Amino acid sequence: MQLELKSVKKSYEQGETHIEVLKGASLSLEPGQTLAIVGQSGSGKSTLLSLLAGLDRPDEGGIFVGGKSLTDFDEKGLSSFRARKIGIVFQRFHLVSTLSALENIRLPLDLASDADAKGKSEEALAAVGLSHRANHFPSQLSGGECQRVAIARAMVMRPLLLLADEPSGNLDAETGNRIMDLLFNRVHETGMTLILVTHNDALASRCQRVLRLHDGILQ
Amino acid sequence: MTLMRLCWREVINHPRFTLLFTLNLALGICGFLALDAFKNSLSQELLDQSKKILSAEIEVSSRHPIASDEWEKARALLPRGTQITEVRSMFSMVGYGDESRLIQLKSIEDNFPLIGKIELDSPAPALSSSPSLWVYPELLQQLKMKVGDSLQLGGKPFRVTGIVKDDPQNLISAVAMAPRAYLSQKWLDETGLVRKGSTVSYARFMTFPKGTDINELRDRLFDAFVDPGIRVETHEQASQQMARLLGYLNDYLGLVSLTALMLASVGLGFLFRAYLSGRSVDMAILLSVGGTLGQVKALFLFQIFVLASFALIPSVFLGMVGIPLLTQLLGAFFPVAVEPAVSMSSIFKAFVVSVLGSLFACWPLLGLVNQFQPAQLLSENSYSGGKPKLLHWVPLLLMYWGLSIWQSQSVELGTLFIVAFLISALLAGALGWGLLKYIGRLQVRSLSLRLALRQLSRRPFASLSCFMALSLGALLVNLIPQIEASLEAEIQQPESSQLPSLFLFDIQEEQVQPLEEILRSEGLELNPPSPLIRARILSVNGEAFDKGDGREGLTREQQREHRFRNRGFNLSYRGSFSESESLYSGRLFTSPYEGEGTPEISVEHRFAERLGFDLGDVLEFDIQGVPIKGEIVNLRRVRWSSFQPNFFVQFPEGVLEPAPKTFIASIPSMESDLKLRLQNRVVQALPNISIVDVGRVVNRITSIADQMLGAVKWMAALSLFVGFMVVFSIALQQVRERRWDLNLMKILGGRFEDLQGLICWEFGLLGVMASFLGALISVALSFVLSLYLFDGVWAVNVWVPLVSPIALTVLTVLTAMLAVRGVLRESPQVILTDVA
Repeated sequence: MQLELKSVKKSYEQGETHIEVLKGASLSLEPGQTLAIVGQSGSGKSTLLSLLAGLDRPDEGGIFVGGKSLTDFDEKGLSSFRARKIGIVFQRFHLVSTLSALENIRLPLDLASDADAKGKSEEALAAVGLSHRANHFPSQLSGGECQRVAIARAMVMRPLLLLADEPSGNLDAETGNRIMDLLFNRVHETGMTLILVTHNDALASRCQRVLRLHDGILQ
Repeated sequence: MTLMRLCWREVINHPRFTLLFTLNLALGICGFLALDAFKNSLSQELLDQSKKILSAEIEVSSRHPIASDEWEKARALLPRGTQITEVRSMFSMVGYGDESRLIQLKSIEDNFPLIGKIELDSPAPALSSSPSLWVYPELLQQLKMKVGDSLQLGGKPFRVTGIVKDDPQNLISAVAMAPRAYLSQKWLDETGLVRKGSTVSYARFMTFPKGTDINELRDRLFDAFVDPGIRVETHEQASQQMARLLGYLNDYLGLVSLTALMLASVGLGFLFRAYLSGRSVDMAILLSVGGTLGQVKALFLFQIFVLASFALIPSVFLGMVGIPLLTQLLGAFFPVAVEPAVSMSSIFKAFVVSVLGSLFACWPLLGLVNQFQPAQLLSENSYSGGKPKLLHWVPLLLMYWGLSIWQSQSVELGTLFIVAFLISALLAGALGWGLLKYIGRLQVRSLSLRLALRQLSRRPFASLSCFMALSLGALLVNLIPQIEASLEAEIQQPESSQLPSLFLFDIQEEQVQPLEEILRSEGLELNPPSPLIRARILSVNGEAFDKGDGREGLTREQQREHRFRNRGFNLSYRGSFSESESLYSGRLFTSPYEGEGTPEISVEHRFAERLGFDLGDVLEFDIQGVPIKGEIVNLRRVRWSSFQPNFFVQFPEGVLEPAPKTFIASIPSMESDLKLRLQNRVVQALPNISIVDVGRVVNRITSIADQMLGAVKWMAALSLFVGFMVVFSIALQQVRERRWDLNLMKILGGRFEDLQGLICWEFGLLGVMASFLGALISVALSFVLSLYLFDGVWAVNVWVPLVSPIALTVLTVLTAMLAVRGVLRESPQVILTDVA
């Protein structure tokens, strides 16, 4: 099992109000599977994404990635595990503005002290078709190009799990489609497990499974 | 109303910007405000006590006896009921047993002082009742004597009958070169101290019946005197003059406080630019719903005005803290206690400077508002800023130029300051830009360092703002010790051992030979004595030399000219330059004067500049009633700190020999025992000769300079603190802008240490480069200033430029870490919360 959620609960206090965001969410995914999570705004998608990425801890229940329980790690261990095993593609790309396209892709490899950071990052850049833009900065790239760089960066560590948060949400339809084609192709090529969070039912339908987050439960 | 409401919301809804902007400005302005309030309080205090301080309402004084016909003319103008008392002041030696000391002697009449009184530690009979002295306590300590003992003053013994406890005329005891003693006018002539050409100041103090218009009377008296060497001052003028005694120090303090404001402007500019950038979308929305660019600009201008007004509140509080500190540092120079109060006029001035300073600092950036367009809302590209127009910085520059002149009270010094500051800033900016670009190309192994280098070189505006604030702060911190080093070198150069040990004045012509004999008997040689001849200028190139209206001007240059116009001159003659003189322009004297044509004269170059004299000008002097002309053939540079006899105006040999004269001379360096013995022998044999212990004077000057530099250091520390505030603001703003980058790095595997390392490298590199560069510029600037202030005597303090950058770098890193600690510790989860 590549990913497993067991009765995950998460709640917040907002002022004097107690909000139960997840009321026992469960799911399991095999390696190479793709899953879309859809839901209305405020349904708890970002909370679920935070938990899956190991950026937050559940109140109850367990989250297992590659057989390892995320709740068993301390902060340092979790950070290291996340960097190696989980890749994230953001809606707003989140590229470091002072680093070039190639340097952005190389950043996680450098942080992990990878000996072949240069080679791997160039390869990842080539895989998204942007070798000719290697030395360009985010401000010099189009939105679609930025998202390609972000995808390359998320995948350069060859993670077990790829989390994509509305990856085409900031792009026009045509560019968005091309980016999604690229993302699904790369996922198929590498055999990664993909969880795609989106509002877009058409996009969601491209995944093998679709779950709807409603009232704190994955349906 | 809508504008005000929107503005108020901007202020309330952006508390971080409001706080940082206000704090930057408040810190920038508090030094300025404290200094202005201190000057005002001091001036007011002196004015309140001015009659007591002068001990009269008007003083008429001169460095020579006022001719009886001149005095009679003036006397006729005085109203009935005027009280007058005469005072003669001079330096003299007193002997007690085997000891002797230089004192400041004041010979008074029984009705002195007309206002206030000299407080003694116990009642004593009037000075006129017997040959007696009232002395300052330090003289008794120096000579190890007590009340009732007798002192030898000239050729007459005097008994000490009183110790002065409080003396309203003891204006600035901290800078006095010798303790004071009072005796009666009745006895002074019997001492034999006052001889032909002796250095004596003659004063008449007056009080008038109620209702007399003192200012009008002062002007009439001044006009009545033909002699330009006669000064007429009201008690108010005298007290203001006293306030100005520290004028130069206040000027420099003012300039340093201005630097703090300039550094704050850098911070304000940066903060406002970042703020504008963050507000671009909202402003584009405002434009899309019918707002105009003019309204958007007005909104920001109004917001700046409001923040500048807010800044006044903390700056007044900080100023209140600063005044007691300034009082503690400078209070020793004044006889009055300064109240730590901030006057309304100081607050108003600070308000104007605060508002104009912040408006002008932000004005160039406000031009960027033109780039806010509703179309931006439809574009995927965010607002990317732009470059402000160079021309838009002119108002800020003009404002600082005006402030520099105002603070320094000198067009020359104010312009020099602003030019030096601009050149330093440009140099720091250009070199900083080059350095930042260069380090961006460095290939290094450490990831934190590599990222820091890229961050610095690829966000040049933010990096350069930080860099300049730090380097200018470092420049200031370093400049003061460098000036101190040059000052010490100036006082002691070429070596302290080559300074004379003793400086003698009031030597009568017939006393030169006996004096030389005394020295010879001790195995010493007197440096050639210089003749000193009293004179005053009658005309320049045939036109009468105008003595002016006797009122001091507004600028330091006018005040200096006023002083020189209103004083007599000491002329001398010698065939060639002394070691402490060198040719500035023109030519040397051709030969001794042989009675044909106009004699040649040599004039000290700064003296000539102040009075507008130039080569070829013919000056006519009145030398004890005899008119003598001289043509300026050269301007001389004089190193006054050599403590050798030097003069503003010199004739060649062959002109002034017959004129009545005294001599001044110096005695070369010697052991202190021998110096003491020699001084006592001269006092016993030639009691009217006054002897200055040069070592003691040098120590006194050094200690006064230390005290004054102490105040400047505090003000420089404030500037540096403002520099750190700018760094803090920029770091905080940068971290905010880079919050997503830093959190992204956490998600990508960056550990706390990696991010901490990145920030440490980034600000450490900035700190070390900026502070070393600032230190280097300070050394260069101190060299340029030494040409202006010390005639080229330059020395370097090596340690401060080496050590201070390390300390400044550590402080910079700590400041930055303080600013970023919140973001470094927050959960990277925020990156998802924001978008999903």
